[in-house]
Amino acid sequence: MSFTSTLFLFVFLPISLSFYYFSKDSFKEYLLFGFSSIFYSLGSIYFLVLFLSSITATVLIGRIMQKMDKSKLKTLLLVLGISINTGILFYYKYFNFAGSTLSQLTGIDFKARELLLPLGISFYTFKAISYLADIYSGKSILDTEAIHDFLYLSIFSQIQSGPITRYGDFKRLDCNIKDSFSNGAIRFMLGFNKKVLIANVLANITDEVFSKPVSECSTYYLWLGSICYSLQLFFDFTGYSDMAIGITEMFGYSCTENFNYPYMTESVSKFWRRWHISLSEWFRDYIYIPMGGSRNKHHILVYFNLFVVWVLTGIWHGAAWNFIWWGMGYFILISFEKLTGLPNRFKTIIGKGLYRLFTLLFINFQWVMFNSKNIDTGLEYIKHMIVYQNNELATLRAKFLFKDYIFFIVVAIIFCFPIVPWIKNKMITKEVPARTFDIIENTIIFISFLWAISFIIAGQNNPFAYANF
Amino acid sequence: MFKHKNNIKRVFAMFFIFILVIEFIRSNSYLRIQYLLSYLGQEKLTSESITVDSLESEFSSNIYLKNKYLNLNGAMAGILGMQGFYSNIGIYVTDDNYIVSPSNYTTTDYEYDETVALRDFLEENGIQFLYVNEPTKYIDDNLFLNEFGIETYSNRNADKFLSRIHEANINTLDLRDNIKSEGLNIQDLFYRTDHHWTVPAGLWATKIIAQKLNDDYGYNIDLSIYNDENYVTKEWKNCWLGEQGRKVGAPYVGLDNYIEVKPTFPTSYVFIKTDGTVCDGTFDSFIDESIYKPNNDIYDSITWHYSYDRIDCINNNVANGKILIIGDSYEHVTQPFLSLGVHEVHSLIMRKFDDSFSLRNYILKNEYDTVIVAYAQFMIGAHDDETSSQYRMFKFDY
Repeated sequence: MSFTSTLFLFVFLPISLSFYYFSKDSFKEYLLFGFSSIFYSLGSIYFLVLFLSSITATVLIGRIMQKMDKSKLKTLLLVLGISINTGILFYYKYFNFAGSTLSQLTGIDFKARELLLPLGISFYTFKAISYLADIYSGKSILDTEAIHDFLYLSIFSQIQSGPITRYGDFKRLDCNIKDSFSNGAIRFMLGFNKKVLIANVLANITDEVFSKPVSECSTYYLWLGSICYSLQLFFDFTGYSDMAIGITEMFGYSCTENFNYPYMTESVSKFWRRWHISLSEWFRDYIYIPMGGSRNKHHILVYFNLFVVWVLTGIWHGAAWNFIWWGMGYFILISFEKLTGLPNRFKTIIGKGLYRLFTLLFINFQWVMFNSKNIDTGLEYIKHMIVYQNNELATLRAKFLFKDYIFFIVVAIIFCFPIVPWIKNKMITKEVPARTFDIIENTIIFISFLWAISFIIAGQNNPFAYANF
Repeated sequence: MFKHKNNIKRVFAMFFIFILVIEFIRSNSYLRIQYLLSYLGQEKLTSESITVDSLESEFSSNIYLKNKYLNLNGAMAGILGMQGFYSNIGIYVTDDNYIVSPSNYTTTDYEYDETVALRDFLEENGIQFLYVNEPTKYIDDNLFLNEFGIETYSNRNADKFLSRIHEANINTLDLRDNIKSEGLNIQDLFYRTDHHWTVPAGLWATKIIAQKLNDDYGYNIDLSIYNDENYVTKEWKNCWLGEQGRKVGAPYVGLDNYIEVKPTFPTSYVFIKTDGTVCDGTFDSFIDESIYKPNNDIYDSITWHYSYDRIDCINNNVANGKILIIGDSYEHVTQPFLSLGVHEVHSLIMRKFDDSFSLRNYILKNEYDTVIVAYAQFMIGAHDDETSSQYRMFKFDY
């Protein structure tokens, strides 16, 4: 069940909120865990038992480890917990890919199994690993009630698409419950608007362009498709993250931020400090740093660590070679920046600006690869973005689409930049303009929310681009 | 930073809650809990099972204030001047708010084989056969290319199909030729917000079909009965919304006009209803004028096109001819008018039947003189999509 479905909005959410708020404090976490299980089964009915079993095993191992001093047994338990979770992830997500790759390499017969992907498996596996690792290292002190751990691993707001919150960051908010609810509600509406009004609308263009054979496209058409996809993906995922954060806050819990205007980035390295922050930090803390990070004596090991991180990042996004290629692209560029000291070596604004432009172009090409069926199609797409290809019909279509969707494209580009915080900062010095600004801002969010609901009811396109993880 | 900020947020959070609560109560959301539980209680999922998508679709289509939301959606599309906003449901809007839909390319093989087989069967049994191509809302596929930058194959599919069956010696009538030769504007023949042709267009087409029956099939229909002076018209302005318009909202494309056309000369009929009952009446009995209420709910009432009914009938004032029209919903208008010049006219819409119905037995049992297949040209190729409601329209060989 998607957050942007009417069933979620007008059935599941009101029921879960009202039960939650009208129940006793001591019962709230049990109730929320129950609703999270229902939500999970509505999205992935075949895998509820597997999901509950894996989080039960994780919590059990975590609780036992918590009571132990460092010992071989504790390490063994950590390995066991991680193995259970990664084993499930590997089987459902990577078994067929690994089998077919092995088959291609060795010529051994391999019959792919019909495997459905359990809902949010990549997200909750990573949460489970961080939960176990943090207990092992002593970073996390567990709550007295085990139900808090169950809730942390299963809370429905984060199960589909993160953020990959750490156990220590998943806590009840200190502020007044009315404030946390209000903040959450506004944040939810904002995310809903981003997802439905921008991402879903731009998906009309990207779905069309990416479904056509590249040979039938023109350069203009391909550029339109790729730019719209870069925008769609950002608003899709940031919208979903905003909704996840908003829902979590409505239930009185804190949630990690996941985005910070990524297309404002100065370099490719910094892009990943702004995009899907919780995933980047997870790889940094649980893969890169334990391997020695940048502190290795030998340079070659630093780059090997980066290589491993980016292969894993690629494969986390999908069990296909184009995702590995996509990860490799980031490895190469980030290594290049590390090696050359770019863009810090540019002293002029023009130099820095040009590098920013280069970074955005690179990210745009990377998203093309990310969204392509395979490496060949992705490369062909990129090739014809660079080498001019004419197709009158496609160019005509590109012009029509650009004209028809100009409002949404312009709005999307504007909101990629921190325009709203900038205006806010300008106004916040005087109380009256700040109040006026807040009223205008919230009115726009609310009216846009009604407009967004109308999209869902009118049966407009409602995909989730950053899904299947 | 300021206390007012929290108060402002609380006010808007209250609005949010208000929307959720109102929709929860007025959309009978509590009834959906039962459905959701039924979904969860299913032991094994099959093609017949309830799915979350089907629950979502059912819930969205019955949601409280649905039409207001549709209006809002359409109004914004109109304000933004978008023409392909609803392209995901096959709807494009021209500059003058005329809704058109594209058609995919088709080989026409299936339609050709079925039509030839039907002709062979009719020939074996001494029954005449005519294929009538009814136009869609544009007679030049370049409209889509020029206005929206996409290909549509509606007219090219029809050209190819008609040419193939013509070569197979099937007599055809392509109404697009008449539109071109008479210099008519196709947009004058159709509703802006509906895929059907207007009542006057149906009368115009019927006269051409009658002429064809006289010329090629030995009928002796008095064509003067189709002259304008023999009809009275009544017009309603901005009174209803067509089936396409309902999907995009009235504020986007505006309401449609409607013209009712009735003969001024006396008529006398025997009507044979689908349940087998028989009753007497006049031409007026074809028309359900209770539908003409401009204040009706424009979204949920029957569309005005269907005020004319397709009923099997016997015209007491005409002695000759027994015709079966295998048609589509365009025939809601043509069947009544054709019956003015023919003794007995029946019609069938093939999508309404399954394999338990035998078209051939039905034709033999009723001893028709002539069978006319009259299809809007977007039916050609519908069989390529198994999920299409028109999938069975060309299924003639059973």
